[in-house]
Amino acid sequence: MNNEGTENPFRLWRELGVTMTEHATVIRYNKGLQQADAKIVELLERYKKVNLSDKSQWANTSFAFARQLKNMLELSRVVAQGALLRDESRGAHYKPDFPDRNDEKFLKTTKASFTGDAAGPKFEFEDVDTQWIKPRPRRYDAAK
Amino acid sequence: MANRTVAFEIKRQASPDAPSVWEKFELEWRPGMNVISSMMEIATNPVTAEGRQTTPITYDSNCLEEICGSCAMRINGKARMACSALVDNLEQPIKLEPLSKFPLVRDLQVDRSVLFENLKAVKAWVPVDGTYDLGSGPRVFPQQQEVNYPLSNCISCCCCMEVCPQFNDATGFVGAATIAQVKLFNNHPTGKVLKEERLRALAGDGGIQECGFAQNCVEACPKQIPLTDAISDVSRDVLVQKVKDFLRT
Repeated sequence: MNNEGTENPFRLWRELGVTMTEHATVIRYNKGLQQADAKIVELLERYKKVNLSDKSQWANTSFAFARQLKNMLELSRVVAQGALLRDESRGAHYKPDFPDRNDEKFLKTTKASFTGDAAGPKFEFEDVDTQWIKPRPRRYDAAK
Repeated sequence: MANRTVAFEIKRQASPDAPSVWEKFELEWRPGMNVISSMMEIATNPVTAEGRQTTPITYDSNCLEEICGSCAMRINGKARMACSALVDNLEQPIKLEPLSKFPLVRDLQVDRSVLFENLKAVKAWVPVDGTYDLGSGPRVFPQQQEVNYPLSNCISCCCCMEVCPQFNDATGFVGAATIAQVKLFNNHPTGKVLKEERLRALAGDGGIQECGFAQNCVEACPKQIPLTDAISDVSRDVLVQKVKDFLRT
């Protein structure tokens, strides 16, 4: 609240949005994801200098927003780094460099936990329960 | 073409007891901009048209697609949703004011819990909570669905109450939205077990008889709910209920 910085939280938010829209939507390239992660690290650094133009104690939505922004930044690192770990195309996520689904390596749930380190979140993979439905290629041009 | 700008005049009030002031803003025009995106723009650079530093505007908003009902405010004097108010369709300067009949929180944010309380008073729900699976409910005919669906579109924005001349402290009128929900839940094959209770709740002070048929509500409703039809139908049901109750005692 009393942070005397130069950064406007709403502007940081917009930069984050532009970065994530550019690199971490449907079509993803590893290079772009690395750039996005680097950008988020920069934004996290700038976040320390965040300054609220609204210092009031009553119904201060900027304050609530600035606190949420921190979580958005952390979560964006999860999205970017989690996507970097998967060199495949799965579901709606398409990596032109790896156009096929790789069930051998990545038929898993990505789990991320908060660490507080500069390197970002810690990732683990959990196997998917496939005992009832056997995975098969997703095809729209032929009947099952 | 030179940089087109958009002019805003926003009524601001720092707290419920503070005096209100008008602030002017000038923003760069963007394609497709609406009132909420403009206020987000102001938040990134909270400076008035005169170049004075100010605070980001406080307002409620959530879905930005006219379905949550939280961003209701008066735009150029008309109660409507800010998210669906496209700047290109509005006369400038665009004047933003908070809803006038609800306790003000700050700037454009008001406390609309009165509608929630009214909906609770008329039991606007289907009572099916239980400890075991009751199976599927009764079938509803398509003709009945056609009537119910528009009523279920209510987004609780309170625009109909803001424009109602009868909705004020003197009458304590519940407002059109609540009455429409009474019709909806009384039409529901399971919800109608509470029909009598709902009608009695609308029979007392501030009940349906306070309606003056100004018909502003149906004009203002952003979801085009047939509010006046609902008021007429429920009004009849309330009267029948009163007569029944009178004969029973």
